[in-house]
Amino acid sequence: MSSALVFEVIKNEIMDIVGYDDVTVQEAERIAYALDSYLVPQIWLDKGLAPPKPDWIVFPESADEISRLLKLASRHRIPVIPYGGGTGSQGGTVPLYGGMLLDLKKMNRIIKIDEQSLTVTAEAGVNGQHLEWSVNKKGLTMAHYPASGYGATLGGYLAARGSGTLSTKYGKAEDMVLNLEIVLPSGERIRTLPVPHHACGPGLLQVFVGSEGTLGIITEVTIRLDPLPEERRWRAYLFDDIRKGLEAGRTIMTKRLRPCTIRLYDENSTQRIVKRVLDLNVAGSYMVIGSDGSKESVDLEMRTIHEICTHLGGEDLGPELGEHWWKHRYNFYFPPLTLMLPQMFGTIETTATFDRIYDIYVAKKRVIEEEFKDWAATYIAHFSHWFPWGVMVYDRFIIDRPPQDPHEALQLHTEIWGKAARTSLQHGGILNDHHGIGFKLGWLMPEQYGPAWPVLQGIKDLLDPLGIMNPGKLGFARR
Amino acid sequence: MFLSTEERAETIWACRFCMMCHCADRTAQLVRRESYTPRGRGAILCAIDQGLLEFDDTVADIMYTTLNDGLLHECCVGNYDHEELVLDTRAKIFQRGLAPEEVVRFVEGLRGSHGRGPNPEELLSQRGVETESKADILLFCGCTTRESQAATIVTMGKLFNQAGIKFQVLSKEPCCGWPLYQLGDLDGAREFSRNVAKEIKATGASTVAVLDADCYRMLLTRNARLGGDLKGIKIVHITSLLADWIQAGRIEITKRISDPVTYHDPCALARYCEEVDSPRRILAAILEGEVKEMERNRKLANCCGAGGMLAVHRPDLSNEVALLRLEEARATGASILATGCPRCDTTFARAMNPDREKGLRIMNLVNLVGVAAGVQFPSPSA
Repeated sequence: MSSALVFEVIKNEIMDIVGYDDVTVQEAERIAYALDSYLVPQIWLDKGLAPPKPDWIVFPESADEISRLLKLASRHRIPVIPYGGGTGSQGGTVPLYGGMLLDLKKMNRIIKIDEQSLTVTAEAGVNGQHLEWSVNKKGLTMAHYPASGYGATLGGYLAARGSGTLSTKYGKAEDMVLNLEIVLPSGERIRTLPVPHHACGPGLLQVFVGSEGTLGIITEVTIRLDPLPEERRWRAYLFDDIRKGLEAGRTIMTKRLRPCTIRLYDENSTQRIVKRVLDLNVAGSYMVIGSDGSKESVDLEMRTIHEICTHLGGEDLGPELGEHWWKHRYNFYFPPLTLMLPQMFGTIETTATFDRIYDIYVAKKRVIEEEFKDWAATYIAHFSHWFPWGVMVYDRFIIDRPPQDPHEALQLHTEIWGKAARTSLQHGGILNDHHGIGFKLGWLMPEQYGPAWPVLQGIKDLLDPLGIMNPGKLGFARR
Repeated sequence: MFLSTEERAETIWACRFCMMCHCADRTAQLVRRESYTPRGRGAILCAIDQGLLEFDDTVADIMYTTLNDGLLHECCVGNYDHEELVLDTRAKIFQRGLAPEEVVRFVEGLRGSHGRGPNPEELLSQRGVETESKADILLFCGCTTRESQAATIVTMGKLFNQAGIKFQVLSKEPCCGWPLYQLGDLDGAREFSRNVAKEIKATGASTVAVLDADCYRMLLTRNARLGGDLKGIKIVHITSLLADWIQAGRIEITKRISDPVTYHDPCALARYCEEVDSPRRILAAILEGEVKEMERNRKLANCCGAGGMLAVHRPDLSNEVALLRLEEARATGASILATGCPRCDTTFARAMNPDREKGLRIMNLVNLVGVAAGVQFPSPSA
């Protein structure tokens, strides 16, 4: 049989499962689904290079349909790429080897809002912002506010271990999840235990959280909710030295205060990005802190935070600037204020313990600014997601005039990423905090995990022996 | 259409990788396909510009499955005009002969008739409304109003009479061209715009009071750009007239309305023409209680489903959008859904399931004022 005929045979089998209207092979749609928020496919499109496209785009409406589709994919050894909102920045949904892309947005039912336990159960394809609005009507919140929330899905939040603006208090998505339903590559449907904390052996839940569609497809999620806070207050400070700002943040966290947000911009970021987005012209390290909860708890927390910040030399810029930042918090990530083509840029983030993070910051700044000075590379950073033991540095490289030739651009991009990521690893950091791995960083995963990598590869080989699930992602070998 | 080459390129550059406005796109929410989102459309247009794709039936379907209600613009950090990009693209598709069949049929039908619905002069005269052959104010009804909301025209006429304001109507009122503009027939939109401007100018009126919000927007903001000449003529929406008349005591409110009322802001009026106050001034004067505002109101109001002439290409989706808005209206507890546009009335009425929407009546603001002012209210033609 010719490949065109095989293509038709498979399409007919897909239609038998989902119906005529829920599969498309139209060229325009294949292009639309070839991209996520990763720079490289964007460069391809921008330069007129055809990005890798899915062969079939399918819109399942149930876990049962997904199960049958995965069995079909196994039979024909077709790659399967689960797709939520396509808002990932790591190429996680880019169909590198073609195949069947499953857009889960038709699976968007909110199944139950449990007002006693403060949880919500929903299908994985529900839009994150719509879900948030739905629970808000009951006086509740997911308290998960990523910049991608307007486009991302609940399943996507978990598949990439996402994080939001309030994560310092409320945690990342991986901290909020209670349980999942997953369809395995074999087509079998499984559920993790009803609660995430137990003494029933290793955690099956966290095997699938962050798996980016390589181990199965998340179809249903139960996630924790919180009451909408009585108050949420903001304040801004300015430090003359990033180290003082870092020390302020560390002190706040290690004293076990629980602000909802600490956002600390380094000098470059303050001058270049904060100025542009918030129209604020100050020199130094700009910090925004938020606290939410009852009025009394916010009073106490903000008072204590204020004492810590001012004791360490932070100039009090007042609550209005803090509020201003909160109102415009997403403006940093959308046109025209975000970094965009033709610039070349990347978020080379990492997370580390407090004793290491400043050294990582300094080392990466040096690597970018010195080793790529021929390209006038700039390094900017802010510290955005704080933990009881450390903090994430959301650092970025920017090249305003990258090579025009896309192949040269890709080569430079890979070189910068390699050096930046390896610098993180060498200084006790990790490859990524909350954007995921995709195919952008997959090539570095074995290096990161070292001798532990075969454990993860072994799980992949066991669950997906035919290698159909999102091949080329997370660094898993393609079978 | 009205984007320069640079503006078009910049809008595509911005939209192709951005998802900031996705939650505001009702058709995208209902279709649930990435290709039907603003980002998907932007990426497709970029691919066409790059020679990776060509205009075809699928692209046409995607570009005609939009509401163009301006809500995306409200959510856009960069104020990129995605709606204008869609209209520009529809014009290109139409020109290439690739517009969906039903769109072509609709356009051909409209161009052949130059306007639909009965003669407003006759209609008003039959109902005992006094009009003038020449007056400073011309009441422009619009095709949708003439076709399916005759009661609203008659009530508006009676309110003119009660207010003691002389007015005239066009005996053969032409279409303002809005449907053609939305559907991508740029030549037709230009022809209609020139024609309607000519007819209006010939009346000698100094003010045009417009019943339909889309006609209002078209005459106010697009007619000149499409070659019409309405220089020196003031274009107003009837809600601002009614609000002023009530305030000035020209219309006497004899019986305030006791039913709970919510108000739907038409997109064209609220977002494009920034008129959200006059309807509320009217309601404050004619209701016993306060307006029960929907969660999404004023400039953030969701569309009724008529936007972008969606009902021509996808009547099913248009109905679904209407049903979502009706659900929002029901959630307020109101028993009357007042609207500022007869096109919204028609769209809601068409979508309504009488059993599900029991207890919710659709009433144009004009008719609500008519009731409050004791003007005989003819049976509505839904």
